[in-house]
Amino acid sequence: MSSTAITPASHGKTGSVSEIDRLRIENQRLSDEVKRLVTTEVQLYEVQEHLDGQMSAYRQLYELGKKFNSTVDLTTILQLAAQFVLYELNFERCLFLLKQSDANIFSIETIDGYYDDAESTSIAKLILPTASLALAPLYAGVDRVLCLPDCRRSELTSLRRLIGMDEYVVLPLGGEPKNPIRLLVAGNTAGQAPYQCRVVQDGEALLGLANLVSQTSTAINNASFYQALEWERESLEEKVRERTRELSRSLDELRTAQDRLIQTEKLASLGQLTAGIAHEIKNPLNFINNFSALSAELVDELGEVLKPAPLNDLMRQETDEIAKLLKGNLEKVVQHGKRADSIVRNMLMHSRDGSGERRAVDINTLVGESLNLAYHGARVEKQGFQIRLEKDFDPAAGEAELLSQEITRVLLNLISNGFYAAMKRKAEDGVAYEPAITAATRSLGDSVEIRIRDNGAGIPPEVREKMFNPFFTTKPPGEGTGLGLSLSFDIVVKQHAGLIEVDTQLGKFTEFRVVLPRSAPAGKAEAHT
Amino acid sequence: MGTNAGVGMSHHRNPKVAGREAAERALAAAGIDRPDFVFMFASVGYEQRALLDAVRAATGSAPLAGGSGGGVIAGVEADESNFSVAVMTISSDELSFKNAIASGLKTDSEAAGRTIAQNLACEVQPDTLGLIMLGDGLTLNFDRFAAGLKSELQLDRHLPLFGGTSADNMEFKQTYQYCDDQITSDGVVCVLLSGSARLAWSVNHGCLPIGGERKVTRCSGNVIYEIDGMPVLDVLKEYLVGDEIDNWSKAVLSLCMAFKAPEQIKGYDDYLIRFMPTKDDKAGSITIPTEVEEGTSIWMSRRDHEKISAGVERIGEEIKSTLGNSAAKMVFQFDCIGRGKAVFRDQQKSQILEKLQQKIGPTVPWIGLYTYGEIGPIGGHDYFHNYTAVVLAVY
Repeated sequence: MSSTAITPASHGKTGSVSEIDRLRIENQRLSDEVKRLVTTEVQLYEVQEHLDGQMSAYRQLYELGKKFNSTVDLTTILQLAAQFVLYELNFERCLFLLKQSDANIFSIETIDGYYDDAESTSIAKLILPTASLALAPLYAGVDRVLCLPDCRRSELTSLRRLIGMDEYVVLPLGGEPKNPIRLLVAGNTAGQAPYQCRVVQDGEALLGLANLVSQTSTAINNASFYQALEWERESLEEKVRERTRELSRSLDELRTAQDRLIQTEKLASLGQLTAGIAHEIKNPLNFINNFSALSAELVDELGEVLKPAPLNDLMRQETDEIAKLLKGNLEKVVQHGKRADSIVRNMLMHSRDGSGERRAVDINTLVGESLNLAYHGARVEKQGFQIRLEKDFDPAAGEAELLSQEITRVLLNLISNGFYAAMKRKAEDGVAYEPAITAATRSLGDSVEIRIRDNGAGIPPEVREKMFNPFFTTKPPGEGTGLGLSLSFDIVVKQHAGLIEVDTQLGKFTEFRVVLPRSAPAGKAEAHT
Repeated sequence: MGTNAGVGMSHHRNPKVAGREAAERALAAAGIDRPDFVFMFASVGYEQRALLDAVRAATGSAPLAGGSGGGVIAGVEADESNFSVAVMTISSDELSFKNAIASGLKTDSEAAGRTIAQNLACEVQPDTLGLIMLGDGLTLNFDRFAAGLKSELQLDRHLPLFGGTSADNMEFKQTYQYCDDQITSDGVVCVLLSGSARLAWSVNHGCLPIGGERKVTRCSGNVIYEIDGMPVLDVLKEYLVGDEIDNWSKAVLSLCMAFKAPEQIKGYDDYLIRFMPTKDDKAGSITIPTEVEEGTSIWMSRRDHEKISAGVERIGEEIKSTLGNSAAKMVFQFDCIGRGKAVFRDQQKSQILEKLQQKIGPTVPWIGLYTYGEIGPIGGHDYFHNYTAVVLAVY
């Protein structure tokens, strides 16, 4: 609007002034209105900013909750919580302290925020007694301890240097309401405080920290429960594994027993078979043995008869030579006939289910006598035979109901085998080697154990597999029938319901372990023939 | 080879880690192992020495210039927390960057200008493109600094000045300037940019006057005591809520002064905006970053969202127009601390920034700083601005 064009000079001037005044007033009013609007806008922006901050805090807590839900690792949970304190709540430093179960102290569990190297080293060693005056309010049920920048309380200010924070808040985490197991400490150094979230009474950050503590406690509890469940699961799995191992062992034992049973049955069948064969062979063999011995005598008689006969020298010489050869042949028939007879007798023994009457026998006496008998027998059989005899008898070995002759046979057989193995090694190793055999007994309660151990050459695996089979022998022809161990197995397992097993190491030792029940097994109380 | 540049940012709270991370990310983005020059913009929450040492170590102690700010920008990410660092690493056989530092701005900004000129005079070449400067936002008197610089350089052509003043996130206590291994306050670091490239830039503020014209009635240098015959602090209270004037950092984010723009830049805007970094309750005065004379007209002003948004769009269009079909090699953004989170919510801020970068080049290495003041030429003359964005593209 142009003020110069609308009114006459006199009135116009008055009118113009009035108009200008009115416009000035209006302008002032509008200006004041704008100022008011500006200040209102500022206030609105502040409210909006505040709401944005709260919304952001809620969102970040929600995100943190999701992260907590995705882990059960305690270290990760504490790291996430510490990162939240630093990056979302914007404190400079954050510590988690854990109460030691065996002492009334808190020690550092997690450190986050920027510390220089010296500070980090120092803080890591921080020990805070639970009786610290600074923590007393927490034990009285107060939900936090605050040390503000202007704090003068000595129990709180003395903590500043220890934790490297000039303003801080301590919150309990976990445990009982008045007996926390963890502490969360958040705060700032004086130098950095202007750039951080300040520690102030009733600040929103404290609310954020309280929410964080709540979420962290829940997450730690969840993690603990999960770990407990995990441990329980592992424990159950271990139990299942152990049970499976036991079942597996039982299965192995069952298989072994089955193998033994099969072996026993085989031997039984074989025994019946050999008994039949032996019986049939025995009579013709008697004829062979008797008539060959008789024929040998007849050869001598023939020599006597021919003595007076008028034979020239050449003819007599030839006759004597033939008679000598004939006698030699007959002696060999007699010798091998006796050997065959021995084999047949052993075979017949195999077929027997036991002989004689069971009686209580002192085990140590039985083993000692068998050892002496075997030793002296060996010395008679082989001149210069020497071996160190050792006895390790358990005084508690006591008595057992046995077919003593049969068990003596077993022991003689095992001891003889031991002598043989030791002598064999002596022949190979020479003077540096001292042959030895140990007989040991041990009470096993309802049963008794007899061990015969030699320090001979040991038994190779391929021999070990077959050594209880009848007619299996590693001795040269004429030195063994191959029935000794087979017979021993039969006597121990079949007649006495015992156990015979062998442990051996090539070049070191062989040990036979015989376990015999103290009392006769059911059905075995009487001897059978 | 040309120019390879890359920008990296880190928010890590440990300055040693943050510096290394930002530098390594910048090197990786540039695809280089060893840069020829490094720009570093950082927040003041960090222990500055540890931060600079980490960046220097990661960049092989390449020449470096930078400053602290109210926040940093790297690509489309703008962070106004107290813990962020942005690094730009540059390797180029077509551009050269020569840095120099001076201090004592509070005592004599003009002398600091002369010192910078003396150190860089021998580096000025026919292909010198301009000077990027970062001065202490609490103590820089730009007019005097520019006068000292130009009087010493004695150039027969206009050397455009770009940059901003370092900030301390509205603490108004101490800002930092970085030059190689040096960290200073009350100083200015300058980078002389030369080579076979061109510059495109745009300057824009987003403020509107509130109410009518007022007059400065008592002042001295860059200190104002009275407006319209009233104590300046009383005048300001008219525009502030309650005791907001006691919270100066908050007050100056919502209120600024507009001066009539000189005739030669009328096409730019009707006003030049001035920030009031400090007040003196005892003397009853406020300080602005440039000289003022008694009788000067002023308008109290406020930021305006719509004008800021429209202004940023205009910046994008102007630079895009200058670039034509050429691609920018790198971009520097000096944006007022009062135009960031003080005005816009995070999402709005990101959208505005992204829109600007889409216009100029979404993949261009882009680094920025939230400052207490911005420096950018208009119409062949160098000006100091407030509540303004200065965007400089090298192409």
